[in-house]
Amino acid sequence: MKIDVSHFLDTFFLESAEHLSTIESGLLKLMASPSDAELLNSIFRAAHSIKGGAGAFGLSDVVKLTHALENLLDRMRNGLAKPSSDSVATMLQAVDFLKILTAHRDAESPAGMDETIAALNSAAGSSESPAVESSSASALGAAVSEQREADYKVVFQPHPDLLTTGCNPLLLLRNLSYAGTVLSTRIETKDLPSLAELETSRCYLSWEIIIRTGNPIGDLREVFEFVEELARVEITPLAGNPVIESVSARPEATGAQEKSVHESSIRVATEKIDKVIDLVGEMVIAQSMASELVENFSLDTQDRLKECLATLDRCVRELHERTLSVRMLPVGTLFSRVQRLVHDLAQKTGKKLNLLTSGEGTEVDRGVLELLADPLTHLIRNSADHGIEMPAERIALGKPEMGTISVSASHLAGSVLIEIEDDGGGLNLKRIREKAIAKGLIPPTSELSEERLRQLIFEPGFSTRSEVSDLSGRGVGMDVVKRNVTALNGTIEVCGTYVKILLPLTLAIMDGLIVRVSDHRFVLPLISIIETVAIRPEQLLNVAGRGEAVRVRDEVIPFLRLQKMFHLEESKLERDEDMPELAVIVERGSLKAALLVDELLGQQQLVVKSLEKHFRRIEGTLGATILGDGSAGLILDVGTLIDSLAKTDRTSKENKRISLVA
Amino acid sequence: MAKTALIVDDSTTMRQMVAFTLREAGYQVIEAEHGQDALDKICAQPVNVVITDLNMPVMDGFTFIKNVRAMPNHKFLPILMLTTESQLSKKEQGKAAGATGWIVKPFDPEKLLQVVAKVLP
Repeated sequence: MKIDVSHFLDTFFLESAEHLSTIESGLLKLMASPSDAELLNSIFRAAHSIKGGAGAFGLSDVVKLTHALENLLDRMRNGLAKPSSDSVATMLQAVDFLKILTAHRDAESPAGMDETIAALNSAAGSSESPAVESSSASALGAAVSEQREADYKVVFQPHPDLLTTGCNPLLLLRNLSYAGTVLSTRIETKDLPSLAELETSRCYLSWEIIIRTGNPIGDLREVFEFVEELARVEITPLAGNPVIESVSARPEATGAQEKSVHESSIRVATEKIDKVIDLVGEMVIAQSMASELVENFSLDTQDRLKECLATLDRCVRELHERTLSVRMLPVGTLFSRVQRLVHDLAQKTGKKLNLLTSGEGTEVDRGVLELLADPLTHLIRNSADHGIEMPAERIALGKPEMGTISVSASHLAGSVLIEIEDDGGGLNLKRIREKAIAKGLIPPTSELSEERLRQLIFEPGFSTRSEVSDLSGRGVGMDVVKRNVTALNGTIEVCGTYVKILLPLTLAIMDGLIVRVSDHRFVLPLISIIETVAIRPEQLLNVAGRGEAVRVRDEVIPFLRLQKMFHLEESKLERDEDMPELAVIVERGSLKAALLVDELLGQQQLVVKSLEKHFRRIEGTLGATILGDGSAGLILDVGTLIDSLAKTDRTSKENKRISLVA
Repeated sequence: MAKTALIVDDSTTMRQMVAFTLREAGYQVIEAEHGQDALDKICAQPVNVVITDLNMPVMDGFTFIKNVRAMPNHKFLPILMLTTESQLSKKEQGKAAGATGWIVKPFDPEKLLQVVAKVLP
């Protein structure tokens, strides 16, 4: 019987990823509490589990690494080795290799792996290297024997307590008989007590068996493998039958491993799935009730139908929420990656860094979380590399030697708020200004407000450090961060040493404001709307070279006519000339724009559908959605709309000035 | 009647693989994530053989085996421990706790079935 276990490989990879993050976060905590036995145990268990699984799939590199890791952890557990920053760094290195190796089926051995294994072994203070136990080799290998039949005498004298370990002497004898032909059996009953003294849980008998077999003697020994300590077992070949040593051979490599695409799958708590299933059950009941009521509809049943629909409504709502929550992950998983990063950064820069995190339990859509990883990493790097000063400088400034970076997550009215703050030097506005002038981003004479200066760091190609540092990348800085965040339909603000990122909870569903522009309906993401205002003609301004603007209270905001932008015809609907025009003020970061619309139709939760997949990308839109009445509506991308305003401004000025509307 | 095996392991992969192998071979399989979980399950239904990991959260394998052996109706139940360690100490510790035998991880499926058949009446 051949059983193929390779389809459990994906489960194994998923599980390994979890174990690896346990190991990683555990190792990071280890330096702070090196004698925490439970912590060491949990790290050890995780490594151990990976090793166990990897062995079953024949992933020898993973086995080698985890074995060395486990070995070192075991010595630490037993107090034979002490965790040091070097050994922790080596273990983290091993974790990195394991991540590579368990990323997909065809992962190749990463370079430098053997050195890491050697370093782990030397940290453990042992030269041990064989990772795969001999016994597993015998499990994998097949014994080929060339042997003539021989007779053996087997003496089996169990300890009286043998039965208490679940061993059954009769089974052993049965198994022995499978190994050959039993020629004779003799039972020794001299120890058998009288019936009154007999204890049923004790074994009083012993056996002497003569067996003829063509199998090696090891096969007979194996029968008694589990009872060696609880029985006297003697196996002796009978004279006249020479025993020929068996030859064992390794099987040939089991062919090229079948290639398969690593599907993206997610692990979801059973509880979440159960709730969804419960709800679907309720819905099915409500639905069948409703159809029955419709079938036999009369005025009497009207109320019951309404009730039924209300139940259905509640179910759908709840199902909606629950299904979304399936895709939700706590931000903590991302924070633990950051923890690792800070640890590495502290080592590389020679700075003393401390990371404070809060709100790890805040749940965010998986997609948002994945896309958030890069910007967050970048911001933390910036803080560590540019923000926090060297220890000596900090002491001179009267600050604590240890620099602190804090990251927190929280829910804020349907959005996720990520805040990053450090106690470093903050943005050096003077340097930013000098740099911007040097790069020709602003004219030397320009007098920009602090807010405008801060915005400059988001410009492509802007980097205040003269020499490109190894850590913060090369010139692809804050502009990429900003692009990523805007791609998520979120906003980012920098204020001194404080960065604030606001993101929608999920990418699949958003709250939107439906507006009418001429005869078309558009949707504006609620997250980017500040207010809607009625505009009287005297509020409109025409700024030379900058197009139209509108004065709202004391602020001048660029003005965009959506109708013109999308080349729409005049509405066929009659327009009351006395009615003021309506504008929706939207923002992206600190940039604002006023969008002229004909009517505000209401607010709705929308499922975002991509246009690119079926049609093509339309400039200025995020995608489309199905509105309440079944018709389609385009969702406007506030970011690109505002950018397009900035672009017109720049080209019209014919110099590289940045349009900033503060 | 199909024999029922209880498999106790905190690793889903390992559990699924053992369970799959045994089910293919016609066993009924109950899964448990750790010793405590397994104790609850073993009290709730009859089991013919137990296969348990040793390193587990909540309740480890040794404690679990001792607890099972302390139950009057499970005095003779075959209990196999899953172990990656080839050292004698683990096996001895397991035997002392009352384990019937052991399966060394990694195992190949046939080997697993052989060992299980070996201890099943």
